[in-house]
Amino acid sequence: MTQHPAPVPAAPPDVGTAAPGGGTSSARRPGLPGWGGLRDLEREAAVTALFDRHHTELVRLAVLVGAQGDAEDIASEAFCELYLRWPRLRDPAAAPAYLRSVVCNLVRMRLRHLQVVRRHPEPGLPDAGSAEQEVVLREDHREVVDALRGLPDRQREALVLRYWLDLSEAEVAATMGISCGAVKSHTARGMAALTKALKECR
Amino acid sequence: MNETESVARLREALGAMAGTVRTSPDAYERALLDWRRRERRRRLTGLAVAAVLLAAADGVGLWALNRSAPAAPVVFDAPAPAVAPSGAAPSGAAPSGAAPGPVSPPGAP
Repeated sequence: MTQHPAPVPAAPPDVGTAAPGGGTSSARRPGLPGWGGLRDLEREAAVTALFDRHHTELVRLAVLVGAQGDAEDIASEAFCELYLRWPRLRDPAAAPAYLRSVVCNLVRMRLRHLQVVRRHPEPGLPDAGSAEQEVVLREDHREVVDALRGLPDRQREALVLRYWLDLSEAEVAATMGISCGAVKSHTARGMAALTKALKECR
Repeated sequence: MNETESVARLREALGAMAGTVRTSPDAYERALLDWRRRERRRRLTGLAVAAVLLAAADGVGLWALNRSAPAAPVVFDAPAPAVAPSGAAPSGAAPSGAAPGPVSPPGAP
């Protein structure tokens, strides 16, 4: 993963690793914040460290829960939300969970928007699937992915968070903003529907 | 196919699909510019709202002052206390240095 230059102060200790950066890449830095004081620089350093560690994972999460071409925009939007709300964040260690939650919510909103748009079709809408994924995925993987895309949003989110990110039920519940019982229900129903769909494929 | 096998296939497929996702190399720069642009816009919006509120409060105050009659008090209802000339005690006031005590009625011994 690419390490990005961080502003001058290091990240707070509870955010994790020290802020990445190096003298060689300082020329790529777009400039210090105009009105920012020390707090702004600290915030930027902390969010930059989080970006380095979690950006790719969040883009992948967005793709797996249903976003396609704009997965990267959704991940970027999640970091923007975190940056704006950083002073109100109670615990910096909760930032990754917050980012996952924002990504899931944004993908759900996007899918709802697409459902509305598809009721009033216009020419030139982007295709749902990425050509690269279609080519690279093996046939059996593609069956699973197609079956997963056919599930309701909540069930798909629960399955991805539970079995791809290996989160506990409590963490999945916190990310999705629902109770642990609802997570169990979504996971069980999703797995049952997925198993049934895979059996029908054979 | 049982559920354990489904879970294994699901994990494998999710891993394979996640492996196909690539991020663009300039994602950080674009995100950084976006953070700063939004923060600047948020602060400008806050400043604009504060300026509008201040101007509105000023306008209301000036309107109230302009609307009232020149003699009528706008801010304070009570009339201003009479200012005694310097060196003279106001009428009815005890002379300075006199200890306050019981007031005897006129004609009392």
